[in-house]
Parts: sequence; structure tokens; C-alpha cells
Amino acid sequence: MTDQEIIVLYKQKGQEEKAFTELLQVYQERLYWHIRRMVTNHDDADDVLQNTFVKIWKALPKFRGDSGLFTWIYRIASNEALSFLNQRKKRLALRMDDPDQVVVNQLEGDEYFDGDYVQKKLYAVIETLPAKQKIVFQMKYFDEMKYQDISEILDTSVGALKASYHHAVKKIEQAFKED
Amino acid sequence: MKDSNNWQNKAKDNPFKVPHGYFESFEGRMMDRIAAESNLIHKRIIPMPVIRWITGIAAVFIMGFIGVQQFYMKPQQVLMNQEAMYEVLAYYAQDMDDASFSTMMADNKLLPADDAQDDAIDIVEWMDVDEMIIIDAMIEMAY
Repeated sequence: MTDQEIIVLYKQKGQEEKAFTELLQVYQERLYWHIRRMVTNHDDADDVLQNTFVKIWKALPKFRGDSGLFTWIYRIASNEALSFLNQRKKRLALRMDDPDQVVVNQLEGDEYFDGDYVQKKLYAVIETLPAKQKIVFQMKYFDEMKYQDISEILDTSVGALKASYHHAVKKIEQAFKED
Repeated sequence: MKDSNNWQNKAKDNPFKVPHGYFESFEGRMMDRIAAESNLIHKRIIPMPVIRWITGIAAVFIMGFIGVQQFYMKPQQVLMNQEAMYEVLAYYAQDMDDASFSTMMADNKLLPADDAQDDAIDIVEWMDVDEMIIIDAMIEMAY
């Protein structure tokens, strides 16, 4: 079912839940991977994904269609993931732990992470990036999204996104050169 | 963009996994949560608009009660309060001229504006007299 069909179905009286189920089927996996690469841990990704869909459900009646459904949904998921990362950083900082190192250690022992040396190294470096750089790198590099689409989702200029991506790539390259 | 470690080619494969059957069961779990959250809202004992009305009415009653209490305060209480206030004001009045003291009283709404000046002048005069008595007494004692 297309985004437009989901919206049309949602607007029909008594069809809201059916439309939402369709939306879940279309987006659950894509959003999960979008969030998972941000938060790395499966349980955290599951929490953030559920919170994202609860927000989507609550906000759907107010969806005016100014932006596309895809953009709108990704914006909610991205904000939710960024908010989670900020909270996690503060929580770990309060415990006097190094937030980046804690997440890297979690990755080492994560039964749902099956990466080789290069991948472990890459995600460890990504973990040290500022949250906004991290999400830009992920959307551009892994999701292969266009700058224009990322710009609409993150409400950031294309120029700023290019700069963020450039900085992120430089840091990753530097980390691998030092290895 | 080229890199000596060739990380860009290797790293795009997804190294993350999910528990068995995660995506298959997600929709059901999600709909359960949505239903639970909707029930919470529907099961609210008093609907939100009613709560807003009750809060508003309660606020009006409290404000009304305070107003009535102020209006019916016993004259004796008012007098005692004024006397206590005069004692405090008299202390500050020592270094002030009549006009300044009167302005301070009116600005701080310590007394009704119409009465402020007369009362203030009375206090200052009372202070002056007392001060003179004390000074006279001190001079007499010195000699």
C-alpha cells in the first residue's frame, strides 16, 4: 500500500486502525534499522521504535500532509532517536562513565551484533560522533538517502548536511589510519 | 572517496541482528500497546473538559473566599495590624522628611492613598516630639 492510499484509508471513518496497521507493515522494518544504527542496542531500538509509533498514532489526526508521510514519519523517528541518545549520554555522564566507551563495550558483548573487526571499529568511531553528525552520516551512508530528503526530514540546510557528513567521514578515515 | 583501509566497502553490510520472529510479532505487540494507551485515555474517570471546569470553578470559589474574609475582617484586627505597622514605619520615619515618608506610604499601599499623608505626618510629628524629649532629657542629664 502506498503512503497516499494509507492516508486515504485513515480518513475513512472506522478505518483508522486498519490504516495504521498498513503503515506499520510498510515502515516498521525501515524505521527499526534507521533507529537501530543510531542507538546500536536492540532493546533500546525496540523501545524507541515503539515510542515512535505511539507518537505517530497520536499525531496522525493532525497530519495535514504539508510534507510527505515518509518525511513526516522519519522526522518523528529521528527526533525520538536523537532525544534518546541525549538522555542516554546524560544518564551515563551522571554515573561518571564515559558514554562512548560504555556503548562500545555493550556492542562487544551484544548477542545481536555480528560484525567483523572493521565493522566493530566503524561503529565504535561512529559512537564518538556528535548525535547530529551521527544521524546525517547514517542516513547518507547506510540509507543512501539524498541530501534534499535528509534536509526535509532533519529540517537542516543541504549545505550544513554536507559539512556534517564531510566531518564525519574525515573522523572515521582518521580513526582507521591511526589503527 | 578512497580510503587505505577500505572500510567503505566492507562496512555497508548490516552487522546487526534481531531476535527470532521480532518483526513478525512487532505489529501485534504494537497494536496491543496502542489499545492499552487508548483505554487509559477512555477509562479516565472524569473527562478532561470536566476536570478543567472543576478546576476553574474551584479557583473562583477560593478567590471569592479570600475576598470575603478580607472584607469581613474585624475592625479590632485592622486596628492592631495598623498599630504594629506604625511601630515599624516609625523606625524608618526617623531619617525621612514628611513628603518622602508620605510618598513611601502611598507607593507601597500601606494605607489608603487618601489617608496616607495625614497618618504619615502624624507619625513623623510623634517621632519628632519624642526625639526632642529624649534629647532634652539627655542634655539635662549631661549638665
